[in-house]
Amino acid sequence: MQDSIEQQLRELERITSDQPLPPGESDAETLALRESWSRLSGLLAAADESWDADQFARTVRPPRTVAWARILALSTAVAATLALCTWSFWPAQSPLPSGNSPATVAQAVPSSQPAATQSTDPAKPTMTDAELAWDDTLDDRLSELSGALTVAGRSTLRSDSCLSDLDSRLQQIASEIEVNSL
Amino acid sequence: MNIPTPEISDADRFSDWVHQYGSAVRGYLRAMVRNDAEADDLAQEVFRRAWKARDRYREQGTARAYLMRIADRLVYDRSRQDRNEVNLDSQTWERIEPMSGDQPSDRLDQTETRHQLAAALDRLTPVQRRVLLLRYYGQMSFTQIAESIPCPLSTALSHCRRGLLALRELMAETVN
Repeated sequence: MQDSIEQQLRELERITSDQPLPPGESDAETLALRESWSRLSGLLAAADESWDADQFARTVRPPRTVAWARILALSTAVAATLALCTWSFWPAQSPLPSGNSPATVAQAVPSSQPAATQSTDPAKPTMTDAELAWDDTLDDRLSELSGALTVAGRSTLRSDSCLSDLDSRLQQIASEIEVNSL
Repeated sequence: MNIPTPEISDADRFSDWVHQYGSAVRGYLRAMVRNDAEADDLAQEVFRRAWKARDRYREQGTARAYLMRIADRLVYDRSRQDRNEVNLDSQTWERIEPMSGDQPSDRLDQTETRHQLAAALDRLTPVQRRVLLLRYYGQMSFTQIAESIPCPLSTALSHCRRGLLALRELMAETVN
């Protein structure tokens, strides 16, 4: 059975190949099938002659969806990161703890900037330049926060945890400012 | 045969595919759907799909056989959607396909060729047509054709033989 299929396979591959059949080795049926194949091949070739292959090649272009998909994905990732940072960072920073006195707020302001709030409460003593000098501790804390924010921006997977961490640190700084322990 | 391997950054490779195998792919599609415009559209779709899934081609072998398998799958899917269009008879084919050619004699030859080809393809069953056209345009082995259809190798061989015998009968009728 298997030999019969193998023999049939070889015979039909010879009949339908581009190469001419070896003379004297083919029976009548093989020659008849070969003639049919040649006839079909000739008709197909003739029908394809009028087709303009160059015109077709000009109209076919490789799809460029990959580049657009990359740009879209990158834009989406950047927008999502920015939105996440805005949502998590600013709400924690803008509302100052209630009951803040202008003086405690002024402690966080560099000495080069005049503390405009000082004059609003004449009952409080005026702060000296030494007291208003740049607070290195606060500067260090802000540097840490800046570093953490950079990490959050680079790693999308860890952004949630980093932003939570930022939020807690800002809360801690705010409370320390409030109790004047910073 | 040395087959160029396409790379993502090299659009020229894609162009090589189109130039080398565009005629075969389009010829196969045209013989199957018997509509020039639709064959052109399907051929473009074949190359788009082939380019998107070119990693699969590297696992499968020759580019010609890879493209022809995609073309065959497209035609098969299309025939399931609308069988009537796939099996257009020769009169319908000639009516919807205007002949091209500069001289009236060219037109006559083309008309005669189309008529004879349509008659030959009409004589074949759909699966015989697939086997013979995949063999001619795709230069696929019968083992590859059997995998593509899919059917046992002995069945693919049988379809080929019977198809050629049917064409032989047609030729004898034409002579008589």
